[in-house]
Amino acid sequence: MNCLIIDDEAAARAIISQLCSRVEDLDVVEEFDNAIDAIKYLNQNEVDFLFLDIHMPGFTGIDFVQTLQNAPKIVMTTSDTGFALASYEYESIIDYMVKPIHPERFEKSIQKIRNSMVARPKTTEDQTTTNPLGEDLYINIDRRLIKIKFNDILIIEAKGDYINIKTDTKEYLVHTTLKSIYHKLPEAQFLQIHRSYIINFSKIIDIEDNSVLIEKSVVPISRSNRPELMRRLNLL
Amino acid sequence: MKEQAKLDYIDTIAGDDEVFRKKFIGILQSELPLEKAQYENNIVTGAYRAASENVHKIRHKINALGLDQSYEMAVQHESALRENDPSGHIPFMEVLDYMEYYLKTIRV
Repeated sequence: MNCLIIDDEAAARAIISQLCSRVEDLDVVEEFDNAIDAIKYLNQNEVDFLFLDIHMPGFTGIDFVQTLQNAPKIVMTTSDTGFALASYEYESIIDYMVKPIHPERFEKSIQKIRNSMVARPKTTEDQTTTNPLGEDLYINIDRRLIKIKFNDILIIEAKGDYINIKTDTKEYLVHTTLKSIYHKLPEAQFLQIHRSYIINFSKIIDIEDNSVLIEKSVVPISRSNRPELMRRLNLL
Repeated sequence: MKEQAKLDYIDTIAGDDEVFRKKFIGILQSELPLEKAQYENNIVTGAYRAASENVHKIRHKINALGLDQSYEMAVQHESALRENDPSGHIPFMEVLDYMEYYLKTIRV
């Protein structure tokens, strides 16, 4: 992986650079003390992600995110927790670290970057190679067959004799079992992480100790399913 | 000033890397006097908004030196300066004077 560091404070850049040096497969390709120079660089070069200070004179980190059309993944850094909510409005922002940055928190952020990098592209590839059912699933609701794209499914939750299929825009309550639908889903894209939950890998935002964040939903990971989840992530 | 600076955070980041430790302390030693001068000038000229930006930058250095109480005071001072209230200037200058002295006398 490679990254940029953008921060107007030399001391802050030095700390992030030092923390990066401890990550074996991570190279800091450039450091910038202002956002404008970083934008010029990104117009001609690609990087995997960048560390971006929000509070910079003239052109802030948020201005920077709004300016870039194809922004790489971004870890925001700041002394102000107040910006956290605003920063999560942008898809490219993977994490938000409050200064002073401690090594444990930095490692967590790197893991979030790794998760975001491996989860997405592989899913697309797997769909075309291992999904024998095409890209859609038909569900029977009130004698109507409704088509749902696998890619739109976020979470499937068991609810008694029903399952609740949650997509980006809607929720569908279907009379069937979790076990039954699990066999109809592309194996590489979906995983049961709890007795009551199946998740879509490509929708993972981050993974905490005992839970997965998908969109705005926190889904529990059972102890018995956790090893398989980790193994599958490694495979990806 | 009662609160004492400490290098715990810098040592944590540096680990065994003495080169980084020296480099980082060198950055603090060279930048703080300049930022302090800019801040003072902005206070004298009544440019409180610009002074609040100076405080914001200096905050990170206060934090790095483990001056937790001074950091909280700086946060409040920065916020007050944005509202054109310079009343926290004198205690903030005491923190800056102490930091400058500490960085001058520190053995790297």
